[in-house]
Amino acid sequence: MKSLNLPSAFPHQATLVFTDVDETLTWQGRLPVETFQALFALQQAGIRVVPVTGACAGWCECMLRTWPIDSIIGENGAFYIDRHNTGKLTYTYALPEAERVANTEYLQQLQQDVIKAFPETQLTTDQSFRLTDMAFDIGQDYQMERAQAQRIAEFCRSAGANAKVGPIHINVWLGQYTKASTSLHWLSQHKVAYEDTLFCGDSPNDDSMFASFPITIGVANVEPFLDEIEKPPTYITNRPGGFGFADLAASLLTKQPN
Amino acid sequence: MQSLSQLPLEVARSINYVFADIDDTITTEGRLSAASYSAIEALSEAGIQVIPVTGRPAGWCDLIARFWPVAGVVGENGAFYYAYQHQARSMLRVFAATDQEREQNRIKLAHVRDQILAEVPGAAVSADQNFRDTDLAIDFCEDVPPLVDQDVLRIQAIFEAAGAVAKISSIHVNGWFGEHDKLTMTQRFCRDVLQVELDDLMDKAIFVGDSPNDAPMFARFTHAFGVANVKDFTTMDAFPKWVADGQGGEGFVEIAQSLLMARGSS
Repeated sequence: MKSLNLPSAFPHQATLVFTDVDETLTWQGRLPVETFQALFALQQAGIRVVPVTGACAGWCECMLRTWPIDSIIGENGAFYIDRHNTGKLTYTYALPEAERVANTEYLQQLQQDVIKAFPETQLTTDQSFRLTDMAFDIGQDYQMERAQAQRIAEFCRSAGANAKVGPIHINVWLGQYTKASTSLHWLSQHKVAYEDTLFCGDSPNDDSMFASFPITIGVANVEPFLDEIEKPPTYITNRPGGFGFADLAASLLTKQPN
Repeated sequence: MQSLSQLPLEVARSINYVFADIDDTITTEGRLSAASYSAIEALSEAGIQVIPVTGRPAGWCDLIARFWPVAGVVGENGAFYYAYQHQARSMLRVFAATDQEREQNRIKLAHVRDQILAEVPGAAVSADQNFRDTDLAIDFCEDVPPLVDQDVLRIQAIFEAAGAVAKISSIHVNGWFGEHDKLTMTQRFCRDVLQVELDDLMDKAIFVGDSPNDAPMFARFTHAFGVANVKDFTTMDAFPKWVADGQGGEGFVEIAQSLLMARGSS
């Protein structure tokens, strides 16, 4: 089905917005003030925002501690973190501890194999702040051809790992979780109705999310990736990245004309 | 300390650089308000460069250097600075110590950590320790019930007995091996990134902070500012010259506005 332009007054009920972070809340690497204000406006209106990101645990903690949010899903669904009224954070992992330890060892070996096979490969600089996965930089601090990134991802898959190519990283992990499976688990644990949930994202590494929720929104920069996304977003915003997210917030906060 | 309202207009008008602590200075009880974040952007758009100088870990600084409209960030109490070059899309990372020294210091700090946890009941390793490169942060107020002053001082004493430096922030005691502090790394940041000596910026720069780990900055900056919660501390090596009425982020916003308004009224 073809994506529609985001209407100025959102035509569906929503109490929770799952959202990607990189180039969905940010634009060209920066978090616009307008986006940050939109997070507060949604919070004040009683609409929860839960970021669902490939970002490392170190970034997740910074966002969760400092932003107007109470939960975040990180490292592509490897865990969610909740912030309690006392300020304390709790982690809930998709995999049991013994499996995570074994996976870490396996990924360290795979990392060396990838670097041997593709000597130009660069780890992301946030690798030491990751708790579960491995990420290669293809567009953050270092530019790599998309075709080459796909070859590296294929190499990792043939070694038995999962690999997703995003706009800036290739994320590699072990285990049968996705952004979507962990988001659905979070919903059931927090007793939020699935039907009242939206997702907003920008790239193929969000495809499990676009496929799993009834109403989804792509920010404008999703356009070049639409062919790589199995179920395209219901709506697309006019503006890119965090500005598109701010448009979504404005649409959600605008009452339907009677 | 004098009230911010006494700040001469000609001083406010000539400021081009704002160095500021984060916890309970830019943030309030850990949270960044929309007003604080807007103030950083407004300063940046007015041509005033903002440089957070924090005890927060490398993992946080990596995000802050990229996402926030700042010229760079000094982290882990001066263990490093990060400056993201948006044009070149690359992160400049400069550490006070070499890779090898940092590796050796991590082993020494692990022993100090074990001793503190054994000797000071109620103290805990900070939740953000996983994302730290250089220092050890002991939580006495963030995720644990607040410890009494005597216990906080005891944590500091254990660090110091082991030959480490220890600084008390509003939530953590941060300890590390090495000579660096917020001031020495800020000086290096100025030299490398701003290409000017901090000493030569004293008429054009302010520092804003709230707690004892900011004391080296309060002592060095001609125009040192505190947010109101700085008054909670009775003993500190140095106090700021000016103090805002508001606590945390509200105080930071007041200070930012006084700089921006002075520019507008020229």
